[in-house]
Amino acid sequence: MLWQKIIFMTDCLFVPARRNFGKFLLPLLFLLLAGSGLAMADTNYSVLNENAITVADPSRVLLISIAHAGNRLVAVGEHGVIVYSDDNGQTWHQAVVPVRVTITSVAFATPLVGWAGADYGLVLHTTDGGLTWTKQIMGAEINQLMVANATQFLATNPNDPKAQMAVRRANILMSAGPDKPILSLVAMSPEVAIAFGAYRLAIATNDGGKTWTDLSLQVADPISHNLYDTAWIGTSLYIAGEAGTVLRSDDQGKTFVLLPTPSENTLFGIFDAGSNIVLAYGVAGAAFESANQGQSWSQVNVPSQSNLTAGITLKSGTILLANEAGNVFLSSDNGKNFHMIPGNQGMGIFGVAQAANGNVVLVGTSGVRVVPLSSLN
Amino acid sequence: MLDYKNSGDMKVHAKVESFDKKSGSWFEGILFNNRLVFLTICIVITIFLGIKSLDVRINADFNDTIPTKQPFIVNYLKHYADLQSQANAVEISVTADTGTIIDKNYLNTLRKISDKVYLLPGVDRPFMTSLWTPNTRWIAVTADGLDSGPVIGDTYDGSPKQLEGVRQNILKTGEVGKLVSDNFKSSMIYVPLLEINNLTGKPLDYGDLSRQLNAIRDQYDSQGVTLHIIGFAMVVGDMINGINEVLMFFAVSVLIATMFLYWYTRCIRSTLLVVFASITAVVWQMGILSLLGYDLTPYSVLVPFLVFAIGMSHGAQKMNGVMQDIGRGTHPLVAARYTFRRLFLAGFAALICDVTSFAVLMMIQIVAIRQLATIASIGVGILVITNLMMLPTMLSYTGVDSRAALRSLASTPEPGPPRSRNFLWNFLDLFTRRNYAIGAIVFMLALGVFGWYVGRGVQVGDLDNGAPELRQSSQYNQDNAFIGENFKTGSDTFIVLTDTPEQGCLNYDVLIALGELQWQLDQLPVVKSTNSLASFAEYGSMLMTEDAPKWFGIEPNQPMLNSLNGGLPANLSNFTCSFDPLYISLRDHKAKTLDTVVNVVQKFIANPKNQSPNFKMSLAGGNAGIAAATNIVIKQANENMLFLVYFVVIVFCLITFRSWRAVICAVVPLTITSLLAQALMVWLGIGIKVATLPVVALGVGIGVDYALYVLSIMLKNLREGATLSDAYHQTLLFTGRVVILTGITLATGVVTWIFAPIKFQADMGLLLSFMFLWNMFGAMVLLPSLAYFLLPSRLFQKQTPSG
Repeated sequence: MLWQKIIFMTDCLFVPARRNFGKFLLPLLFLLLAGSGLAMADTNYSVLNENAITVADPSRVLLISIAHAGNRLVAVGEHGVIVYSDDNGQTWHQAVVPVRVTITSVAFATPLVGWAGADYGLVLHTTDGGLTWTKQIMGAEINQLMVANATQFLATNPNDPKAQMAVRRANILMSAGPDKPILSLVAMSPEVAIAFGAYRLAIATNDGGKTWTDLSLQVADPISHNLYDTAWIGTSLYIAGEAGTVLRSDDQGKTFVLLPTPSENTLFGIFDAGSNIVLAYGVAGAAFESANQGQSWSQVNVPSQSNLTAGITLKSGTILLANEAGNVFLSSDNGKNFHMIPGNQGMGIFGVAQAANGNVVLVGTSGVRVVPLSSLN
Repeated sequence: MLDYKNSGDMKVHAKVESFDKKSGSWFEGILFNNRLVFLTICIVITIFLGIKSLDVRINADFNDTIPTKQPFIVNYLKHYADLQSQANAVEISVTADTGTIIDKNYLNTLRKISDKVYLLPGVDRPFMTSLWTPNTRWIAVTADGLDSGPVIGDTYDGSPKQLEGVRQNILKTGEVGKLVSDNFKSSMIYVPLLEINNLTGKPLDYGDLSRQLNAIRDQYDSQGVTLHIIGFAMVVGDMINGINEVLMFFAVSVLIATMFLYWYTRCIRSTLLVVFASITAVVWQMGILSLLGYDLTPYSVLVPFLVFAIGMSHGAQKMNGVMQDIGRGTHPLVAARYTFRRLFLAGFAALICDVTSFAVLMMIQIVAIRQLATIASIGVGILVITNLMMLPTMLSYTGVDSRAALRSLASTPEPGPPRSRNFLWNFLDLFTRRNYAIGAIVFMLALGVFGWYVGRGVQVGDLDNGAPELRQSSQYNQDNAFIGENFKTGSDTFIVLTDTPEQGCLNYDVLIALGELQWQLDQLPVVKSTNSLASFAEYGSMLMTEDAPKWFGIEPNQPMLNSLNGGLPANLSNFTCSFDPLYISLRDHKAKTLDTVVNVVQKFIANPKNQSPNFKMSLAGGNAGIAAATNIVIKQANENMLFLVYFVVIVFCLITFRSWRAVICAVVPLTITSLLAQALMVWLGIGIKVATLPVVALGVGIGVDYALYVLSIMLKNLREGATLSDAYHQTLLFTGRVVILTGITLATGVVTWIFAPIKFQADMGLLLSFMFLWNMFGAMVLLPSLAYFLLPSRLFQKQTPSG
């Protein structure tokens, strides 16, 4: 049976794996898994229908991403927890969230209006600066949008192999159910936002989230990778993803072109390292930068063996990267050299933001760590 | 037949020849007319059991302290094999004195310690974990995919590069806070224990294990590390190893009791005989213990002393009777028979009452308590032979010191007008009068209500951190506090058990329900950390995606969840993937903490949303789960037990006195003592648990002795037509004075225990001396006051003509 083969293949994950593992095997594997027909039947997911429970200490839960809503900091994480701080990360409060699933990403268009992306293809929306959230769209609906879009594409281009491929892809993803998490969000205005996710999931809204459209056919990634992060650099919108995938949009996110791959390593983040230098980082300490909008890349030397999972350019111009082993690295020469700051944060670091007072707020497996700006010099 | 009414008039017989050997009951006749045969049998038994008693070991079996029929435990025992001795383990934290654990010397020392511990008897070796054991592995993502290996690899040579590798590996295990403290200054050796010594096949000797662990501690403490060791084995081991000091305190108590008795009698001969008879009872008891194959546990170690104490109380009564008769000029044999005649029944009723009330403890489904009940019942039963029969026959040979006998008589004037009585008797006599009686009753009832009010707050289980049997300043409790502060896991683990169909341990609905429960528990302030397949799956989907943080969570994709099957940690499921334990590390195992966890879990399970054909959640495993189950059993047992003990006491008093009025006089003072003892437990912060549950029952048993000795003589006098005041006065002169003596003697002896190194003994010392004293006080003050209303002499005057 197919699923036995899959389990066999997955068992191989636990022995030292072959080279090129990340490039093809994982996306292929997940497409197989997704299409195996053994996916969950139409289940009533209780975790999508109940409010997140109140946690004992909002600053001590696993948090994955952090964003600004004006001067407020909003961070998202496990079991539907969204927390916010109005004092630069010193104290945290829990927002009202209608679900209990992992929330992976958050972005604000204005201090009041923002979106959060979650597991099950869920997009949440807030209009009060992150205090309360409502559900806008979920995975099952995204699957339908995707199938409808691909079907329409095929109807207008019946002989286009790309269109046939698109329909096949949409149907496979549809049959797996709403299992694809949103991984990244970009909020351009209170009306316009794009959400990216697993297997090249991409949806966009132009009406503040009332209606969403499938954008995945406009993202030129033929293998349907996981799209982990997005960033505005200059006037372009960049996406970084699995197996070294980098895409760029020069038309405000309407279409994305595939850029040369810096390496086969999966990229978890991408950001502006200053002076329009693009810096991307990811698996096993890998980091790359490009001074020509991603046309060519050079490796950046970061003394990390663990995954780099957070990065930011501070107001001072210093570039900060952090990894899953709790280490923080700094570069004061536009990313040419990084050094590790002494001391370990004692948790895997998944997200970073600079608070209004200049302090660096890290989020990760054990919650929040505030690193005073003074200690970074 | 064995009735004091048969005693007839007891004339003074200076010569044994003038005494009718056939007088008295048949039983008395058989005993005293064959006293040489009887004593010879006793000596043979003593020698035999004395030799046997040398085999008695002091030990404790963890499983014996578990209520095996309680539903939690039934569930737990079903999964005993799956849980790999999670309940009974020793944890050793090894702290670097300087720097961190990432140090060549530290790791070398740790290896030596780890190797030594590995070889100790009783260690479940395949499941022992430390930084050095091969089962401590890291899994991580590399540029090439997923990789795993031991934390300290085969190529480790102590070089700085290798040390950095060890540090990275530790981070990759996800065990920071469990295997290694957050500050990287300590690491943990986790040592699960078997119930048997795998070298000898015999039950594990905890005293020996704890001595060996302490030797390892002493050896390496000077080598740049500090060891902290916790676990059931260490608590019990410390208590067993402290037993010499316990025995020393017993010896002091015995010495004090002996000195008091001598001070009272001024007769070395009879004092030694009483002590000898009481110790003989203990020797017999220990011999029988050995024949039954029981061990003496740190909790039942008090029982032999209690038997001794009860024996002293009865022995002193016998000696006092004999002494008074000899003082009147009676021949020792006749004096012994008279005493036997007067007091055998009262003593017998009291001891049988004790035996039965201790036996009531056997209804509790915990082996340790049943053994304690058996030991106590047997010991007290033996006293019937040694102190009620053997002691008088011995006294019939030895007699007493003649000067002492005269002295005894001199201080015992024949009953007369009040002015001839001494101050104490005059004072106590006041309670046979209306105003003082009312005052005493009102005062005691008020105390009783107060005791009930305070005693309602008595808690079941442990009320302190660590091991409440040991002092908070003890090495163990300091170690426990250290490990509690530095590690996320501690000695208190509660396990929720979830059964699934075979190969169903990774089903989406199971993991979601388990994850929900785990998440709720994580929010409790008493929970330090949790672990289960649900949290493993949350990180597992990260592992499947090159450790991408955004894949954290349980994805609604069954094939993806199933694919975790190849790398499940052994402790999170079983071989057939049909079991999902949820481990909850608690800050402590106080009764309140356990209640909180049990309530949250039970509420969760009761929710129809969390019931599914795909899984069944149940309580409970882990040492904290077992403690919760034990608390539940003890809470129920405590109520039923006191009820039954009193039922037994009332029935025996009814049989003995054949008067409900007398029963009230005897039982009400006991009740007030019980109520006040509970209040004292609240005040001292002692919870009711396996170790302390029997004490209140034992207290009732001791108290009833006093009441029976006082009341049986008083009733006899009343039935012979004395006024209440005279009847009471005569009782005071005969048995009452001995009740006062033993009450004060035993309380003084036991109160020295508050200086004992083991807090359990100190607490018991305080409780017991309170009960010795207060029972005495009740028998001396409240009993006559109640008798004023319930046993007025006119009651007996009316009866005399008819009966």
